[in-house]
Amino acid sequence: MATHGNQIPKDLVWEILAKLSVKSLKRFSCVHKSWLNLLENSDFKNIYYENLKSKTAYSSSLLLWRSFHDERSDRHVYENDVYLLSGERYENMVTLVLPSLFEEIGFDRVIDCVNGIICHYKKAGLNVKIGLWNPKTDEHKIIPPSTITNDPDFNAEVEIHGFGYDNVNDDYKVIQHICYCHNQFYQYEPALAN
Amino acid sequence: MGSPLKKIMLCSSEKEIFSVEEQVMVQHSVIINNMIEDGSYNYEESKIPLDCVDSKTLKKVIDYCTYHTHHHNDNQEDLEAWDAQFLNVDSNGLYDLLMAANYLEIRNLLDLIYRTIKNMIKGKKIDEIRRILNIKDHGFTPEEEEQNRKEYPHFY
Repeated sequence: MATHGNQIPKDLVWEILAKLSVKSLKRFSCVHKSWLNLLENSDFKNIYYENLKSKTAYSSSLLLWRSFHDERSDRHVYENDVYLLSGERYENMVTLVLPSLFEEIGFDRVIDCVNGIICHYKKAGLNVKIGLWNPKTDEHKIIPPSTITNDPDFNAEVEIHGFGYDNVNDDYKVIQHICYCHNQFYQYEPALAN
Repeated sequence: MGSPLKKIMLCSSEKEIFSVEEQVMVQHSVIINNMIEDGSYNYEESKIPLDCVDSKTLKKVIDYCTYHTHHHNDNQEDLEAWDAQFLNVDSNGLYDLLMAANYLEIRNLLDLIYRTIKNMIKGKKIDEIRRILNIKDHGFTPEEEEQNRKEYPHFY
């Protein structure tokens, strides 16, 4: 292609780039200025995901999340691991170390993995942090917190319900579910006074 | 879909005429399939002019379509070996085939060429990728280019 003096038209180059791994796209962003942030371009992204889908039909991988919590002993055993299983019989196992969301003790949960992006969250009381992590590029984003109105009469309980790709708006969405329970429901019957 | 014995005429940019089994082209080229289906091809007098495809490239394209029509039941390994041999051409040849496959919309050949070029540029240094893809103007200002080289020295 070099000696002809001809350059491959842009749409065909995209088809070629869409066959590369996400990881190597970082390198390719330095080749041509218009290839910066290719994955933020919706046309390129469409080609890329189509390719990914046809590829994963042959070689799918599984994300295994193992959460283990043993309260029987005094020393609480708390393990939380994420593994990526691949290969014909899922015989290749890689441990993924999730980036930490905050230092306090709380529950780490993996919600889902869409287009190679893992959505996880951690909560301690009303303090909830949701992160999106791409293990291939090791990019990690923390989603800005949504407002939780705190009414002293109610107990609020936050659950992260789901994570998915919204193809209409070309964006990812996390559904958060907040349950407000009136304090009274939690009050025990007062003990009988003498 | 026409009968397997019917022939169609393809005309290269050098006005050389190639007579090909209709079935072979219909199965592979979306464009030719559409022409036959909508009846715009006249078997008595039409030849399909392919002004941007030269004889050498057209012959290769026909070879590809013919082989894949008659060997589609072969095992995957044999087909891949044949494909690799088929694409053992210089970069000009590869470029011409890419443009011809794109023009005629031959999906499996296009995909094969995309994958071949991907393997040529995968893991290469940036200057090498630019050379292979013949990118002369990368669009970065000298300052930006300098900055990238500093930030990602291992890419260069």
